Amino acid sequence: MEEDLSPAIRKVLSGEIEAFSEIVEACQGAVYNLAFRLLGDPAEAEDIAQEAFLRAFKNLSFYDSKRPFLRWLLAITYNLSMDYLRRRSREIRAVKAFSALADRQNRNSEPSAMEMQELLGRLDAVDRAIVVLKYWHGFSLKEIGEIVGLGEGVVKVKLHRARLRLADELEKGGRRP
Amino acid sequence: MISCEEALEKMLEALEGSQTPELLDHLAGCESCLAQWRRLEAVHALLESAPALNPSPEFKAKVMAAVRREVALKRAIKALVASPLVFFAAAALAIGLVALALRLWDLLLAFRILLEMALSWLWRLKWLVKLALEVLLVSSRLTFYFALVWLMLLAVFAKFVKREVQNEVA
Repeated sequence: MEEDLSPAIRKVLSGEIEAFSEIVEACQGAVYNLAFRLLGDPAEAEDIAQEAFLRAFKNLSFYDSKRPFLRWLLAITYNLSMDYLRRRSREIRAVKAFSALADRQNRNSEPSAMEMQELLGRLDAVDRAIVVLKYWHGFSLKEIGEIVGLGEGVVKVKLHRARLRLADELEKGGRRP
Repeated sequence: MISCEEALEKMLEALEGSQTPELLDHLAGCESCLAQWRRLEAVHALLESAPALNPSPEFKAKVMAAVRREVALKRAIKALVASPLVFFAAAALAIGLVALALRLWDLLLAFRILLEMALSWLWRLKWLVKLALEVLLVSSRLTFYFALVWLMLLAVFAKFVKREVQNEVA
């Protein structure tokens, strides 16, 4: 799923900063999506995503080319988002924002997509990140563990717990399969 | 047949793609687990179908503008550090700061001397007061002893005078 960004990275490291736009183009969706799913606010998600790209650019010389670039970038995004959430204690606000966004962004989308936004907001931030990385980015449990800094076993337990919680919430919401 | 707890474990594994015959057997005979399985499947399907979101169209331009600003700032700092004028200005500033620090040190030293003098005078004053008190005390004691001796002498003299007078009368 990850495209090879090594040539662009090499160009940036050799001084061609405009090559960084290729990296932004390739990764912006994934970075923004993770930030948005964690923060629940489009403007804040864009700020965090921008900060993640800028931090990646500043620390590109420390990037280990053996590791997939997107995973490294998503780990930066995850850490920035979690710091942001911790700093501002935004958990409760994020839940509210999910509903607001669902109204604003998904007016024409399926009801299930709106429901998803609200449901995700009910998980804690780490569980939310694991669900997002699993379903939207298709990472394996091991890869998710590398991004969020947890062991594969812990990620598995958290993912299972999140699924059960979502199933319960879905039932509470009156939407039975 | 496996237990409901085991069935839940198997359900969660089944969502990863490894459905087992034991689970199917359990679900065929357990209504509550079947309902749970349907809920989990629904969540799974919902998550898999949820669309990925994209940032605003101007996001890439914003990031690149921030990157360019960062690079421009780094270059400006590098250029400043490399310039001889800045080097001499920095050296002059450093010398000025050292001189100012030394001057401040002198002032602090002078202040310290004054403080020590004031303290020493206070110390001496304390000793003077103490000495005066001692003198007062000693002198008062001396006066008392002197008065006592004087009274004793007076008494002896008075006794002597009295005996002499009695002798004369006799």
